[in-house]
Amino acid sequence: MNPSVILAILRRELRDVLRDRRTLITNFVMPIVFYPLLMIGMATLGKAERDRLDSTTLPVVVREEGRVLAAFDPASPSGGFAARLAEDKRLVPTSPADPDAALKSGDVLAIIDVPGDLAKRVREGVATDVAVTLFTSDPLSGEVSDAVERAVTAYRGGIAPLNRKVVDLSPPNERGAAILGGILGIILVTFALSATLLPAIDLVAGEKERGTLEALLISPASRTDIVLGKFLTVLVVATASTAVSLGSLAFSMNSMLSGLDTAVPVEISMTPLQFASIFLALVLVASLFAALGLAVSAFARSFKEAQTWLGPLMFVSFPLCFLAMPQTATLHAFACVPLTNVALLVKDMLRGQAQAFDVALVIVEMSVLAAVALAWTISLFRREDVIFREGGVPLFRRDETRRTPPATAALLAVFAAFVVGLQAGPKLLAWHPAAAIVGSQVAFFLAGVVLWKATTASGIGWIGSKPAARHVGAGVCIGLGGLLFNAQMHALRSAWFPGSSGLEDVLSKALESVVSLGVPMAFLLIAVLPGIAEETLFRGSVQPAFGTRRRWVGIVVSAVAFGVIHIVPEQILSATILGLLLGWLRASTGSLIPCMVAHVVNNGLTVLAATAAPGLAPAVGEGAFPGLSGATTRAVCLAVSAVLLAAGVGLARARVAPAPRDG
Amino acid sequence: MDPVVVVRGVAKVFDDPKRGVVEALKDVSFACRPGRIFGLLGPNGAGKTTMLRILATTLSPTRGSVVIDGVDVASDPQRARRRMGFLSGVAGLYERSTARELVGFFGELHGMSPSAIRERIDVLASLLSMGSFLDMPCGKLSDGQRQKVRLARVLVHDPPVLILDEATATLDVLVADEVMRFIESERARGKCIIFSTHVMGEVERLCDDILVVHRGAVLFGGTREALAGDGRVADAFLALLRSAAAADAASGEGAR
Repeated sequence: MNPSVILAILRRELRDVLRDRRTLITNFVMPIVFYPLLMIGMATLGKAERDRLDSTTLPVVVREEGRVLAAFDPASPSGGFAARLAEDKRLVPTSPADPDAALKSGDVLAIIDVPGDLAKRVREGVATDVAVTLFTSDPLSGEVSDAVERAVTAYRGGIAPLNRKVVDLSPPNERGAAILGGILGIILVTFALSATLLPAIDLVAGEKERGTLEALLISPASRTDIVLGKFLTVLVVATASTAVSLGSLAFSMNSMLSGLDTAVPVEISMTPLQFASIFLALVLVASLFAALGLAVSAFARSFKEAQTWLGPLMFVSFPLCFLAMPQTATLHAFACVPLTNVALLVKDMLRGQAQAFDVALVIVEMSVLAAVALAWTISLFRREDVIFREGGVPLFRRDETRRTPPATAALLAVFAAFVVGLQAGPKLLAWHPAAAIVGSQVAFFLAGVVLWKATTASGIGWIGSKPAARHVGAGVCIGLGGLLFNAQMHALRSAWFPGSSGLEDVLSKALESVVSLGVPMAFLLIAVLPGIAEETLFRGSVQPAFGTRRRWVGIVVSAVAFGVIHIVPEQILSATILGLLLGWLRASTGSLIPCMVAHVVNNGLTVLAATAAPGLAPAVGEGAFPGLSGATTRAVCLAVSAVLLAAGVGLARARVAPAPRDG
Repeated sequence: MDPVVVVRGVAKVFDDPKRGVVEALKDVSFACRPGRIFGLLGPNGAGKTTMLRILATTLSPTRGSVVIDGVDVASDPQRARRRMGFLSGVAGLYERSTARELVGFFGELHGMSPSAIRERIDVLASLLSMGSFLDMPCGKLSDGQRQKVRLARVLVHDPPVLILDEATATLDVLVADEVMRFIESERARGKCIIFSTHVMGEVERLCDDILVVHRGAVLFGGTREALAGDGRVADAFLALLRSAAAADAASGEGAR
């Protein structure tokens, strides 16, 4: 052993490491920045969760010798203990006719049985139990159990032999689901991540390093075929590997739990639906990781470089998994947060608490994200500066020849705006309806502008050409005609299907609240802002993304997206119809200004109608028009609407005679 | 005979983050005919690999056009790739695949039927003397055997155009000779072969036409006889490069 040689090697290797910027960033800078942020984030989330639990009411039944107490009665024989229970303001004593049935139905969280001679027993040192009967599979059961434990501790003081006795009514499989559900989703995401990255790196960065990728690129296989083939390989390998790991884990847990000699048997079992949903969750998360892994390793020149670059993906993924850890975290609260939602989907499915809408949202969101990541990977494989990369290249490169955004990016922008609106909208609405409108419109406007600016080199091209006066007139006619037509559709829908989704009532109240700010403000918020922002995104940026050869595809896609973001089921159809009219107007006139005018006219009249005759307006937005009844009125309105729309079409398509040339 | 490969006014500009804008090729034009071997010569950094990658459609030219067997590579790169076989100097092999599996896989990518692939592999195995290692994993093959597998890979679809970049580098004399004899036999079959090498002996032996590039520009384009006359190609090549370097120094470009 030669110390000087060892030191020389150490010096050289350290110098090499210190000259590698990527290693420095991943191994030193990121942890220094990331872990404090992670801790702050987790502490903030933990506090928010604690605050939420502290403000949650916990309905319980308190029985004294089998007699249900309507309230925490200090005068009862066990009054001292009741007073201790009452210190936790969240515990709400209820007195249902059948406490056991109420517990089973979930109306109460627990039944607390207190001996009538509790005070005497404690005084005399007789061993006594306060029984808490509950379902431990209920996420809030722990809160009740802890509250009773605190009351017991406070009441017994010193060393009196008073204890809390938990009686768990959960069947063994639900108990198992509660235990497994809490961790399975998180394990699934982390296993899928580790099972995906290695093959993804090997199939792209590894092949670059070994010189086999270029041979494939020179073959007649298209870039799309190559990426899809590699993507499916990674997906199959990662899914199979994770499924085997999870199966082995579940089997081991089951064996371990069944081998334990416990008073409360625990069993891990799944219905076919639960199994299928977990498999679906696995495929979704593996798809996203596979696509991201391929994209990042397309940039890397070597296997090692790809590993370094994929480190941050883990830094981002783990905290998102931790969000799903609290017992009370539900899918509904995090349905739009990627990865967290997958972990919670597994948890809620195992507990039998998943809602169909939330599940659908997770599937759509994760599929869209994976599809976008895959489209990005394909675009990277087409970039020679990435495939034959020698130095640094930008992750995203704006195509300087591109005049309109790519369709994939347009759909992503709409989806992002929709998800942000869905997640932030209710919170802003609860604060003030005006905040919800401003927030959503700012999101739409930014989505449209960022989409255009990030992907094209045509300045403010989303506005299109300068409109002629007759095009503006066409906008006014179509705005008026569209409103009248949709009002009839709305009236017919109400007549045929009188039910309401409930959301429409919420929006009607919101409209009243905004109108109470005054007509100018209501006009600004409901007519002008959407007229500018929604048109910028849908007709300005999304529609042109489908090009002139697929003009009708662009019109239909932007109209449907415009309809869907209205969320209220009663509004979706009318908004889609208006979207189709505005899309046609944009395509015919080549300008966004007539669409903005039509939108402002359409929404503005709704405001005026609501102001002039509040209470009559059946809804907010494009589907609303008050005071219409009777077949004649409808026929007249439809006729007027047809005339206005025809006039709009005529004005939009009319050709102007060329101006005579001088000389 | 009409040329099979036609390159007109090709230029390639890279926006290199470290070196700035680099003009790797400047107005390069040439044509290659069937039954002839076209030598692409130049010192390191001359633009040979860039030119070959443009021919192979993995890079697109900034200006100019490339037509291979009647197909414009810019407008239909996939169809162009079906008409050529490209052996890159840095091409690797799938280490865990056998030679037969690897060649068969590329046959599948070219849309060949399983029976056509089987027949073609038999023909290539015979031509390249691959019978003894056809079913061995590529990871266990010697350098010479690996190079034969690479050749079989690019020839599996029997393309009219062969582009060979440093085809004999890393090979011992015997295998290199075997490979060169194979290239000569492909020329005799009427193939158009574009051949890039630093070994002047190979140029003397194989090339019918020669293009010399230096700093992305064409220094010479014509037959081997026109370049070297009765003398050696290596001497004529060196003389060309020295006069180009002197011209660069005089104009100040050499300090670049």
